[in-house]
Amino acid sequence: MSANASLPGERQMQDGGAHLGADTAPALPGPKPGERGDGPERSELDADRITSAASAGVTSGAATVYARLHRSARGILGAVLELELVAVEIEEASRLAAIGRVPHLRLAFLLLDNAVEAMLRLEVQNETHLQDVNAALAQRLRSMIEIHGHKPDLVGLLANTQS
Amino acid sequence: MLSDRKIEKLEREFGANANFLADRGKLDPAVATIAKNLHRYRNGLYHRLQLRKEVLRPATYVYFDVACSVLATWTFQRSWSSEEAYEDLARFGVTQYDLFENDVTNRVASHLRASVGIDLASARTALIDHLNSRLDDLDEVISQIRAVMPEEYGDPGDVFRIVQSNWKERLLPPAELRDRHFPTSERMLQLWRRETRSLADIADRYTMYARYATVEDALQKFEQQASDLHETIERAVELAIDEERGR
Repeated sequence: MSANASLPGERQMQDGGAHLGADTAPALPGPKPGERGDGPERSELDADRITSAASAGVTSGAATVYARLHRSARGILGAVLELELVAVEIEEASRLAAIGRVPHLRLAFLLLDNAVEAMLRLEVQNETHLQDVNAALAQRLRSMIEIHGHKPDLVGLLANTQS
Repeated sequence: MLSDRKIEKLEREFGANANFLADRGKLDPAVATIAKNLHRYRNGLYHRLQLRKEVLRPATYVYFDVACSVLATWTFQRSWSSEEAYEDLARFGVTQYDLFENDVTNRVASHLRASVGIDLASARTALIDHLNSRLDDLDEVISQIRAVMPEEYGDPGDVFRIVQSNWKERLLPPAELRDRHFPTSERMLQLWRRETRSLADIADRYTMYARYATVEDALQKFEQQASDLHETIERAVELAIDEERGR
């Protein structure tokens, strides 16, 4: 793992902060494509490392931008892992399918089915994640209608919530 | 708002998920249809090891294609509360900053597709051959049943009627049998043949997969019914031969 690898895609940043120049990249543990490396995982990066990168010659503005991005990156880890799990399942399925024997084809098929089922379930969850909120809101609106009568605003809001 | 029953169904059923997403424009309906069909294969494969070997290879390639299509349109949900370790997706052609782009799953899917040469022509030929061989087998089974039917069932459509009737309970007299309506006739078999041939001319692969699934679904029920009657006849014939030998 290269300790001084530059940030991949660093010139794509559009957050209005200072851009990291190729010459001023902080010390990052990012492995090259296809290389896992044995150094610290990205999740082990912390503010101290970023500060030390800044003191080693990286501009403080760049370090601030990276720290902000890094915090963002830590926030999407669950989704990243989900994506990798699915990608690895499909990748492994293609490897097994290439062997071409019935037992390997069967395993490939099961892996693909699992990947598709997981994606469909997660997508449905994305679509329905406000279901509980809407159910609670509808219940509250029905209580208010019982107390205040069928006022058009409340009835309309309830209809919208239930639709 | 979804009813509790609907939510329970979504939590339990693969097909309900596929239909739900297709209805909401989140999944190509053709992809949903073929995914449901493939999932039924999976059940046979996982629980009973009944997947037909000759169709396993093309079915696996079709499922790979379907999986990549589902992945390409999958919503990459940014769950901000997670503290799980970051896993590198670089080998799938994704940089850390790509994770902030909306098409990141499409990029991964494209990378996976590029890593496997899907031979659509071979998969198409295998699917067509598979259906044709099952239709040939069905023709043979029908002709063998017809050969042992009593003379009074001489109408060419009687064999189809008997196969779909409740013959285990009671074989209906010819007139009563012909008064009843059954979904599959000889014309239906000819239609399945035509639809199988038409798979060769369908350019859009998902339309082709969906047509294949439709023909197979329709064929499967009648095939099972014919097979049940054929096996019963075979057992009766074997029993008669054994009895003859025992004399």
